[in-house]
Amino acid sequence: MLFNTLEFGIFFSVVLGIYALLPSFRWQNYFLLVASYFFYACWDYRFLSLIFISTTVDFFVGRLLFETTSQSRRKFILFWSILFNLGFLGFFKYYNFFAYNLQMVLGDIGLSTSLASLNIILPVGISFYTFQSMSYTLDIYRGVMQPTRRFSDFALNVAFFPHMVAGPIQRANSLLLQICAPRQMTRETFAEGFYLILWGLFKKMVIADNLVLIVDPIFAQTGHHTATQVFTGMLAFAFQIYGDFSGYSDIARGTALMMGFRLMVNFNLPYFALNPQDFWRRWHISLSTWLRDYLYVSLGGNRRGEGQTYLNLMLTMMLGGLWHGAAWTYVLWGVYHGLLLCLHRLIRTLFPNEPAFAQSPMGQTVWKVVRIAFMFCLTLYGWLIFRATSLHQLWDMTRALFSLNLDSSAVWLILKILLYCLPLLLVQFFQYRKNNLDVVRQGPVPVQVGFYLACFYLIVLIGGFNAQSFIYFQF
Amino acid sequence: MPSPSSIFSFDRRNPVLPVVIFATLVVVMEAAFSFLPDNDVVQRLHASGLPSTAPDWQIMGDSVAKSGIVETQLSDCLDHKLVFNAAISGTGPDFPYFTLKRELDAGVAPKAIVYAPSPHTFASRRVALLVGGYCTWPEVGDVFATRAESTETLYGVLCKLSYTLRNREKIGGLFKASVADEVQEEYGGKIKNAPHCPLTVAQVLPQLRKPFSVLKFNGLMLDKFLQLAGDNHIPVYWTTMPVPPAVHESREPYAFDENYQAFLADMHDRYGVTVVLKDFPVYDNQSFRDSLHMNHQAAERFSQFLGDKLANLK
Repeated sequence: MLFNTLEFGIFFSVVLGIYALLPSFRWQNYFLLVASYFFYACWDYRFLSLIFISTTVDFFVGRLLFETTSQSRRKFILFWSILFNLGFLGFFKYYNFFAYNLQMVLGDIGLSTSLASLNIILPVGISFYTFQSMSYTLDIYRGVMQPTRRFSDFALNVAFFPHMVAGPIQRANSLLLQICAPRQMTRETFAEGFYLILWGLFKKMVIADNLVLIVDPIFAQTGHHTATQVFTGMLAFAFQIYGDFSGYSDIARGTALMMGFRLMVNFNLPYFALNPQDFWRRWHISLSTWLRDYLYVSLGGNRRGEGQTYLNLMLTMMLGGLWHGAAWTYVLWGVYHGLLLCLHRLIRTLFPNEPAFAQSPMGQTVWKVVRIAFMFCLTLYGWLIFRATSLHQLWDMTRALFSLNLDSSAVWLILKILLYCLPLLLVQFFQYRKNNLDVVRQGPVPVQVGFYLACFYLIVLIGGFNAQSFIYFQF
Repeated sequence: MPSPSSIFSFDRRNPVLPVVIFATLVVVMEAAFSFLPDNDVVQRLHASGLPSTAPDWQIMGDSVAKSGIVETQLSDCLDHKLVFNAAISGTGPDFPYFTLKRELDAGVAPKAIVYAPSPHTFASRRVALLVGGYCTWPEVGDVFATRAESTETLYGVLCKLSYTLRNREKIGGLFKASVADEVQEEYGGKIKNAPHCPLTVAQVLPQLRKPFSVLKFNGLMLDKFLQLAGDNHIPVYWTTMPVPPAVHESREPYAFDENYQAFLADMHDRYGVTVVLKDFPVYDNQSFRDSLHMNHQAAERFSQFLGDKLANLK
């Protein structure tokens, strides 16, 4: 049941209606849990058992960690809990990838093995709910939060339908606290939720679902690309993946908000980032902060000297890349961003001051624009790595890109990509200028109404109605 | 007290107000749009009226039957009986039930039906078009009663209510199609819906190169149609229509004809349908305007042939 379908519209309307009528937040929680399991069962009921097992294990591990005083025992329990969670994830998501690569490596050194390739179906959202569940035990281990006494509350924290399949990855100390207390359904939350849902649908159906028509043929082409074709593909994919994933996140936040839950902001104008570090503060924030807090910091962060900091950055980003899927292109994408972060850190250390011309107001603006444009170009190349179907294609397309073999045929297409994205760019420009993501809703009533009308009619007229799946569902 | 003359003086403390105004405006605009002309397909559906008197023979089906069976030619073969071509272009097997029901209600039901559907329409989903463009409000209940394609039916209801939704492909397509076409031509090698008869299997439209299958909803509506005809003692004569050699050849790997014939046999067993032609006649390429539609001369030739067959059966 995709967010951009009539089925979900009906499902959510019914859930919201019943939810609002229930007498207490406890009843609401039980009802939401059933609704969330039903939502997941619509994808594949067989994998409900996986969520249930993961939930049960982490619930009891959380209690055990809290009740255990011996530090060594707590470490032991946490170790097995992490091993269990990552084992689940590793088996379903990475078994075939590792088996294949291990076989190749062993074959190269003359050791033949036969690791059977299994016909494993990837359970939808496994990466998201596993990380979510793990953050609960990790937070209890760190003493950041206490375990909940109610199993149903924790189960809802893991399975809450707006975010279960593709995030935002919620920390237990944020969502669980909201689950354990009465929520407020107000006119304000309804209006904000409505705005987020409509804006999310616009991003998904108008931008992502139309740009996929441009992206897919380019990356499906087996012959030689020209530089302009590669650039067109990169540009279209940059907006496709942003529209797709941030659209999903907005709809998730909007639906949750209508029920009184506030999920974290997952995207904050990422293409306005000034540098790699800024980019990761703006892109997939729930994952980047998860990786920072639970992986980077656990590895030592920047507390163990410069060399170790660079290593930690690289390792964190590489694993972050691998989190997206079992393919070398994702690993390389992670490494690429790790390198950008390291380089940025190095340059910042060597040149801590802004250039002289950037001191004046005019120079400051120009310097900012240059940095945004440069970072956007670096991000674009990252998307080429991410979207390429293989390392071979990545190599071919990179060569084509830098061959500067230009042709005029795709220029008109680039203009059309920008035309699709024009409403998005306009809104985001104002959001950026005002440093306020809610700038539309805080505008005069006619502006808000005009915005809603424009979004609605653009969705109806040029939105993709064939219910394309969300890209991040495969992760 | 805010000045009532300024639209900027709405109570901004009411966050739901813009949503309410937006929803109201959509309703008002859609009501105003409904006075605009609909797209060709919907106009054609609205124009497909009932016969003024009950015909002796009625042709039913889609555009293939509409253009492929000539009423006058058929009438000549059938003792100059009144023949009415009620086939509607762009429709599928889910439409005839409602046409026949309306004719029965109006007292102009035919005495016999020649049913000549294009077999490819059995697998295509046109519920939204049926509900949004053809059904009356009471008939929508009939569609819901099938309990198949509920979401599509609901979408059809929305189309019925909204001019923009009904015409979205035409209006939005002006911009969207051009983008898709350009990319496909540039990178994918676009398969165009060529306005000529395909000469080779490769030129046959991809949607025609598929195994024969029946969508559940279409099957249910077809059952209702044949049941209704049977209940009212209206005999149904089912015929295949001619195809060009390339289309015929393209179906062979899928055993298309065999499966369709088995389907016809099932219809005969269950509803007593008379199968006039079970094999698809293969006409030469010059007889066709495109992959499925015959030109007028070929249509006359086929109508003569069909008329003779029907006359012999009678």
